[in-house]
Amino acid sequence: MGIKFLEFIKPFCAVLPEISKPDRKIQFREKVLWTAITLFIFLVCCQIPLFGIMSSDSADPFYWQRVILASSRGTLMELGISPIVTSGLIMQLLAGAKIIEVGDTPKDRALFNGAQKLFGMVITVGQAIVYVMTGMYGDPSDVGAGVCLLIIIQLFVAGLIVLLLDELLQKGYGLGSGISLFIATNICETIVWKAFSPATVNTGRGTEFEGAIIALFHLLATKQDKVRGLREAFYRQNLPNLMNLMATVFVFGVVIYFQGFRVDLPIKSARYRGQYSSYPIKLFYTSNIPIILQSALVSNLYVISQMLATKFHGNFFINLLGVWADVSGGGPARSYPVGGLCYYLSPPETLSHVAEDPIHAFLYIVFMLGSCAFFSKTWIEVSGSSAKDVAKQLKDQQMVMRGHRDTSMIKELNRYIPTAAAFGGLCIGALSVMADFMGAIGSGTGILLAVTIIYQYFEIFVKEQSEMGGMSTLLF
Amino acid sequence: MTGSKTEYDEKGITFYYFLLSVWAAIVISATLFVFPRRKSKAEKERIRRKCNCTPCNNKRQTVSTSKPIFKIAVIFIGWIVLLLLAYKVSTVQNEDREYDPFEILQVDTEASLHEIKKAYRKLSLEHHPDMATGDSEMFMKIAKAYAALTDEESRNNWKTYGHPDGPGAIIFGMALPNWIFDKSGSFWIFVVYIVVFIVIMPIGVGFWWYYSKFSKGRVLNETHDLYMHCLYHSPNIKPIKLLGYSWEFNYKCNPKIEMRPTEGKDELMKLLNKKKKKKKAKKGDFLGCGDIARALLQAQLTRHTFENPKFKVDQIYILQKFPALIDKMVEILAQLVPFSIHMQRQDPKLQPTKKKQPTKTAKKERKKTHKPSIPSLKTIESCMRLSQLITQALDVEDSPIKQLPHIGPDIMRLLDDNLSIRDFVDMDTVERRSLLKDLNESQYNDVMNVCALMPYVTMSATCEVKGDEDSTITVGSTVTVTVSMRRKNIIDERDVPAWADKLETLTVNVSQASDVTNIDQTIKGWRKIPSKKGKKKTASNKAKGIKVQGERAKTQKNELPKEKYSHETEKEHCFEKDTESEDDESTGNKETIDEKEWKTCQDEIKSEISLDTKRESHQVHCPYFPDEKQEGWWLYVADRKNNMLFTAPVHIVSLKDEKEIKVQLKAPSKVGIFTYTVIIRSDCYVDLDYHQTIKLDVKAAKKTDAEQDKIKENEESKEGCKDNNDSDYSSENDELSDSE
Repeated sequence: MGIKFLEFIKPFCAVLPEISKPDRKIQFREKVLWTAITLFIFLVCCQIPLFGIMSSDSADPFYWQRVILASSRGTLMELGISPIVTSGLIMQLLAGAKIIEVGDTPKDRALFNGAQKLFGMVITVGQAIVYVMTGMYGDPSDVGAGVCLLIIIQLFVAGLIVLLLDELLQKGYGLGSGISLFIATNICETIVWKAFSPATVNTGRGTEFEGAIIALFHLLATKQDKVRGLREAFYRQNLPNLMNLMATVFVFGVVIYFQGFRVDLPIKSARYRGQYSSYPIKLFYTSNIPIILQSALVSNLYVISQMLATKFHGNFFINLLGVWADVSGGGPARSYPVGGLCYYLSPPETLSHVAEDPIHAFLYIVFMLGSCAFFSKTWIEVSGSSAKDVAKQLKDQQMVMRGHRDTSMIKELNRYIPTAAAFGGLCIGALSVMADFMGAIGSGTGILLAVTIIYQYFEIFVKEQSEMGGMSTLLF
Repeated sequence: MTGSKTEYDEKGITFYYFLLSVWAAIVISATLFVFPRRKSKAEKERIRRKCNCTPCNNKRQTVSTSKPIFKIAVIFIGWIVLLLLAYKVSTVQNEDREYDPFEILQVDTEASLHEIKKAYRKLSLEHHPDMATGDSEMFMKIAKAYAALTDEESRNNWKTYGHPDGPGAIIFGMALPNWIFDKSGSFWIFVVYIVVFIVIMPIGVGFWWYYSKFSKGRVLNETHDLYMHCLYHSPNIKPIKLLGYSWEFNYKCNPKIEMRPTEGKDELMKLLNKKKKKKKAKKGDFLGCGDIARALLQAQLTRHTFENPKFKVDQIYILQKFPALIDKMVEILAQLVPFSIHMQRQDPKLQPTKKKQPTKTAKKERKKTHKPSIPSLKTIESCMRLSQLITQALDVEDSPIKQLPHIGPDIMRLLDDNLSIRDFVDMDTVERRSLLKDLNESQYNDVMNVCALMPYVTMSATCEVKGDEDSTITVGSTVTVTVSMRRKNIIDERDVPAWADKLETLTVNVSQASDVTNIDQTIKGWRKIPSKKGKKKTASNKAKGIKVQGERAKTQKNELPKEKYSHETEKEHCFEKDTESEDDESTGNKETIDEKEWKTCQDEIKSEISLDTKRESHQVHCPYFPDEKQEGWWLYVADRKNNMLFTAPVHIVSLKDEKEIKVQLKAPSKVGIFTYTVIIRSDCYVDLDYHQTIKLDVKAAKKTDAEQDKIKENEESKEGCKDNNDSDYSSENDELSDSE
């Protein structure tokens, strides 16, 4: 049945738009160029508002998802990368659970990728229809059928563009993958905005800048009492302050420090004596996957809970799931959970919140750490990076571990890989919690994602640099 | 972002704050970036020992006038703008003052309750509406301020919201000047957007793309292909000739190169013909781009100065390109060596001719049919030598002493032709001074200063098989040669008597090497395989059609006794290990040993991982080379006697003091003692190359699993059966240990 499913996809794959593999070696310079172009297109798409939508001042139900899905409200990137991520996740899970059988042949791989893309497109259309029909852009009857269709088409084409851009990068024309690039860009954009935003707020005690660094200058210049001005620049509560910025930098540093933690298993060639190398097992073995899965789960729960809360307001069971209240702070309008399960799964906003409701903080920490460790451990089984798979891989390359026989290799790998995965997931969760408590800009999850992605890019650059010689020869 | 409520900055106050802080962030980070770091010790030494010869001074002028001043000027302007902005901001009247009850009551912020009450009473009397001086508005203000300081509720409101009345209406704003969002303003913004994103950006990217192709450190793909092709088909081509034909110097490919067919042709021809007199007749008066480039390079070697300024410009351009090109050439040669050996082995046509007549005729045949021959060590070394010569502007026959400043032809005549730099440094001071008696004191100092900063490298090379329990070198295994280098200034070394020791060891090495050659005369490197086959043939009386596999089996047969022995020892070893693992105490011991090994292994890997991205070593004294140059070295292992390269040359550009480099080479597939040479060659100084001989004591191979399989395939002898049993036995053991 498994093979049959992919065979069933086959006729569709022929009509799918596809980016052909590069037929030559792409120079690093060229890769940088393509990556920049991709990023540029994405950023432009993030700014173009959808045609035909009505103003939407209601609370944004997807606020919690925006960070990891690189989407921005009311623009072509409304869906962001969620179709790709969702389809990729589901297909991987299906393949991992052996519901779809995927062989090792390149043909099978290509079919699988095609299926993933097709599925992504279907999800795009589906999501677009749901968005329009649920009245996110105004009541469908007010908007009119023609415009509704137009909005759906816009969203679909934008989704297709993102799909193709991601494929462009992944096929080897660019660096990294589109998904990670977009997520990192989105988060970095948030951080820079929070630091340098020219937006001002006047709540009655004078104009205040949103950007933390600009606020520092402004407060120092305007306040008579410089010490108080400085204190306010560091600790003000309603808007991003310098402490938030410093916490962000601190989390950045900590994550990068942890990235270097790894165990190198010495391996040698079974065929040629004296050929040796190492197989690194990182502490963050599964990288940022657990946090993506975890936040995907939580944000979906939020969306469902919010929808139910608006439909069946006051129902006991719905309240058990989550009670929501609109809070309009400095930023865009959004709903906060104030009770129920969702409340206990949401991060405490500040340290004083922790003191007020320690149970909330405790449950949140336990949930974060536990779910991250769990997702991390399951992910290695699903994605084919478990000890068994690694041992098989090494065996195919005729490599054995130094000082061990073939058969004991799995045992030795089993000593490290599950531990690294579980503990790494735990660490990721803990870092995320820590970032949230310290009030780092762009949420703990977001920063973790951004840092891991940026670190990957940094590694690519360093590797290329050591091969080619200085940065200047790489780019100029 | 905040929708329709947004209010823009009409008075242009907040906008200045925005501008000021962004500008400050840019200027401060730029200053930190450009600000000169503290000079290191080596740099101070270099400045102290600055050379003052005329070409050096000329070069310093041309190099230094360009960049730093420009940078400093930009930063200076940045700071001035910043100060102006700050002044502007400070003079701007701050409209919305913060609510301050103390100011209204005209008391100090530290005032006590009593004082506040007193001030309130006084002011309220003064401003009471019933009084003649009354002002109802002012009175309200005073009352509110007094309440803010005394009343609990208003005090809280004032603390949290900034006003005793509680939170006011929230006004969102954007610190951008109003005109941007006007009708006309937004049109211009739109125009600017269009221009920036649709016109300037693509053009900028296009320019970057096009011109970065010809940047200093980059080699065109076409040139890469040309080198590959030429070196593959005629591996003994002169590097300078090939360099000249690089596409970088061709006007068809590089727009920066102008074709000047007629100007100054005679001068160039003369330069070329100095070397090659034969070609004069053939070539006539045609001069291609390649010839011009070669002539310009030749001019650099002979320190010929052109009258024509255009040639000067061209020459500088070529020389700036030169290091990257020569690097590429060495890289390609290093790739070609194993490749052409592989091809020779593969090519069925080539092998019989070689075997039949390994004489000159065979070689000629090979040339005729354009079969690839292996680029010899000579070609590679001549490339490296060319790099040295061009950098120092020396001709091939020139004495290395000519690298030093102020050494003209008059002094050269006095000196011994074979005098090396090291000899010169080692020379007795009085003797040296008398040799250079034509130089005045400051000139002599220059000479000695340049001498002093020249590099002296000591190295020690060890070779072993890594990643295995025992590190004996066996047939066909991969040997890791670890070379640790230590660079010093030559003058530092001179003070220490260690130099003499070094010389002694060198001589010892030489003698050892000669011993070894007596013992084993038929050592050959990569080339060895065909020749070995030839020998085999004579031994086994012309068994022509035997396949390679069969031969291998035979060699194994010949070496069987030894192998058997080693295999048995290995078996015992395994056995011991197994028995040990049963014993608890011994396992404990083993564990600790393992842990140690593990630790060293981890450290090793970590040290390998840590990349140094700095490309900085020591500056080179090269007055005739247009760019500043940093010392670089090529490290490679070769067999000098057979002119064979064994490892691809590693270009080391960051040898500051000490460095450890690992190179891997394949051990010869024959038992015996082999001597190779580890060579470190400078890419910028002539006559400062260092080498050390290493000895590979190649033992017969123990059987690895893969080899065992081969034996089984080839011959099903008793030995093979035994092996089978053994392996069964061991696998059983494995299972046992697993189940434990």
